[in-house]
Amino acid sequence: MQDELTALIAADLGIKDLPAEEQKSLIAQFGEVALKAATLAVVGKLTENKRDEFAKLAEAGDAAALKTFLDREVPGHEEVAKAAVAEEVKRFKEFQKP
Amino acid sequence: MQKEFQRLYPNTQDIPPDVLERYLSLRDRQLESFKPDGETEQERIAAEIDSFIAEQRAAAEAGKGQEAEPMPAVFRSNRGRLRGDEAAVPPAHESTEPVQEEEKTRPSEVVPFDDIKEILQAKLESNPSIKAINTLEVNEGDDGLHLRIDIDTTGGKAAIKGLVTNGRDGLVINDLEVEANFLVKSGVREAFSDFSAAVKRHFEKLYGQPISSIRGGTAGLTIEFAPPVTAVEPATSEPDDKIEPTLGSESEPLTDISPEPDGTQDWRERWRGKLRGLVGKVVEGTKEKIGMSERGERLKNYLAERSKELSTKAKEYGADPEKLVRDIGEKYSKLSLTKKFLFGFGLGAGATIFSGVSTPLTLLFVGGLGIQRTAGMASAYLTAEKLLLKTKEHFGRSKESDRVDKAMAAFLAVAYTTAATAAIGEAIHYASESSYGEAVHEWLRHHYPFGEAAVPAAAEVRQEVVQPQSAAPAPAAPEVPAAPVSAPEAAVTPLAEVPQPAAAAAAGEAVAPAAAEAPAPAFEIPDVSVEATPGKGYEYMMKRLWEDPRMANLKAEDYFKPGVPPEQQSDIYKLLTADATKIDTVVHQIAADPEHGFFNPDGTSVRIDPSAHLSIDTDGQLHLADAMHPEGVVNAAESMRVMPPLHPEAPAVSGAEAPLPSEEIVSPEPIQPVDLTHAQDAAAVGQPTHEGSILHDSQGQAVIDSQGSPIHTGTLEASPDTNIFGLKVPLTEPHIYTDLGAVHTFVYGGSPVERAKSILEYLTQNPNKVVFAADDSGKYRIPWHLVEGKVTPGAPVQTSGFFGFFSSFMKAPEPDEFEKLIK
Repeated sequence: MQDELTALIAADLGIKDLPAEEQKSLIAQFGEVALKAATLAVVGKLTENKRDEFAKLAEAGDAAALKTFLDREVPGHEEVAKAAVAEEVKRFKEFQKP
Repeated sequence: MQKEFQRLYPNTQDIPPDVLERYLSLRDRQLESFKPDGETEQERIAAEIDSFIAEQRAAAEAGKGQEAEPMPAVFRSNRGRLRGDEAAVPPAHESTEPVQEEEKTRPSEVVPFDDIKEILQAKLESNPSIKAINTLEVNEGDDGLHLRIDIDTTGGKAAIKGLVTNGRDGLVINDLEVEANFLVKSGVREAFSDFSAAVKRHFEKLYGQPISSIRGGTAGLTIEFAPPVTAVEPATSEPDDKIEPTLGSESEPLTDISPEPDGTQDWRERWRGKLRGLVGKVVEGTKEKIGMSERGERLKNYLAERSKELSTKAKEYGADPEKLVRDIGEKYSKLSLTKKFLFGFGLGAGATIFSGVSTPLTLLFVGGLGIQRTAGMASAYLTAEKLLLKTKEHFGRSKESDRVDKAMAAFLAVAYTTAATAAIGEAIHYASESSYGEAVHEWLRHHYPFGEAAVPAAAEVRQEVVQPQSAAPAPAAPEVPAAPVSAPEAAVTPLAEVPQPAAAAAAGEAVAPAAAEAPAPAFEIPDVSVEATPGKGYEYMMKRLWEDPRMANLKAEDYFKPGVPPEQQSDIYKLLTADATKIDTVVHQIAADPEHGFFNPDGTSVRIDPSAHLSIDTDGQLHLADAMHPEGVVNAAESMRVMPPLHPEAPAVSGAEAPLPSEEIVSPEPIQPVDLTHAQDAAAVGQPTHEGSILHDSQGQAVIDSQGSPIHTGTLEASPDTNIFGLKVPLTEPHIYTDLGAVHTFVYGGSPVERAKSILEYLTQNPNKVVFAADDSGKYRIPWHLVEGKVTPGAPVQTSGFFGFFSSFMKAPEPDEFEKLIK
């Protein structure tokens, strides 16, 4: 079923015609891009003096503090992150267009 | 020597490796001895050579007694040239030996295994992802060529190990071992990709002729040579009488020395064959694991480039954000492929299927917690996968249902380690809004810890308090509001036993999944859950949890986290290690832990909804969820009411150290059904209808709210334009308000145009603020910012949920949120 799931995800990323192993590898690699994109999108919404604070909180791994911070400083941060990842998905698929 | 050796070994492929090695050693020494004062040494070596030849002859005679063929001429020319002796003029017969044009143009390189080593080493060293080459060995053994590479990469250690042996179509690498995470380290992989190009260049240089292609195959790398630039004539055998070492002609430059031991085509073919197999399998062996199609390579390169672009972009935001993004890359690279895959799914496909991306989750990843959770996620996924296989077998559903199931399983797995209840909540939400709702409900009903209980759609989730099964029929008494439950353990009999609403079950009990069917958490999560009891507090619920017989079957050591201080151990560990004399202290300490969100920042405790359940989550922490907050009561959700302050340092429950009585005090009041309507919420802080409605705690003290007013259980007629804070909130004119604690700012009332004007005025004076208001539809909440002097609306606000899951659009601001009038 893992292969089937891979195929499912691959379809969303437009790589379903690639071999399963390649799909999996690309999905894995996409994760890093998505992570970075989501992070940068949120950072971009912060004022300059808040960015460092955000970075420190993120690196500290304090979930509660981070969430409080984001709720306060970046209303709708979840949407911001989702949009960033969705944008990366879109870019990835557009890159594949002939 | 050469003549004799050639007679013994007419075909160089037949030369045993050890014999060849001795031969080459003697030859090298002999060559080195050819210097002006080296005659003594030359004589000594000559004697050794004679002895060697005699030994080989004897061995040959004892063996197959083959007829010897002459050795290649190259050896002769080496000797002559290196001797540097004018007398060493080649004999006439040798001067007539045809000089192979190829020998002149073909680069004269020995092709030992070391060349492979050098090529590999050069490629690995040039790759920035490889920090150190600890071991790089290509050794010939009795059973074949042994290949061993150990390297340190930016993503950790990597190792390749294999045995190269003869195969039908060439040499084959057997027992190739490649460390799993090695495969996904792009830098290393690229090193091997480049390696094949380097090998091509190397062979072209070596053979002096172009290589048309290097093809991978199951047996190795096949090197196809293009037609040689210069035809290679076979070596001409020398007559037996032309056996003496010869000198090269005077015209031959001394630098044009061919160091090969022989120079025959046979020799080259032999080595070529070995190299073909070796190089081919090094590349092919890795390609089998990490190789990609051309398109796959292109996409992979795109992603790598995109990742670099994002890292570069991060520099625009300063040093710390740049480091943050860089750390993401580094930590991500350390994950196994499976974890990366799951994370990629959670972030990538999740964004398109479930919109499941979570900023905090993303960023917690950086802090390490994400990685920890991701690790748990992997095991959860595998369990979920098995469950779904069973489901598939059981239901045999359609393809579409399968698709939903599979996606759901993965989503649940991703979410499980971050917020199990939220995952369930999301599943319900999804089921309710998708055309596959029935299938998902069915899956949840059978394969998640709801037992056989029906799982309602999210739309059906509502607060409802039903008549307790064991209670006597309620008299026709006035309806009473749900009694807010304060942290102090009030001696108020439960107004109603609140059976587990299905949705709450979905939210709450999911944390305590049935052992047989829940996704596997990091450790066994006890299937215990305590329902809220009106009049009782968190500590009461914790104690009931502690008393649950199922907890007695658990061992504290199973939940012990090595290296973690006692105060940071999980709640379940603390509970299991507490005895009757300490449990009250323990539960109070747990309740005081701000991470549970049982208290507001000002020390007031959040209200427990009658539908709430206390259970153990996947991290072994106590988890409180209710119908309105199935994701959990975290950080005092806005809609929660505050209760009297409860300061950890001053236990609100008198005699908290003493064990609580095991018997509940029977309420003098009949148990009434509770209608949780808005008006009744308002009644909780409004004026009482009669003194007898005041809620008392176990000490007989009236339970008061944050304003110091007693909490009533009676109904109340509140002024229609006065909110629960007693603040008048007119509907017809816009005003600016703040919520409790002045955390958020709102505009409410009046027409949209009037509100916009108020927002502009306010933001002009407070440009860094955000004002929340209703959108045009009046249903959802949108933020308003001041951007370059213009009031700009944002996207509808979503509830943050828990780690981003189970979020939904927030409703438009409501009067009861406003505590203070600003303007």
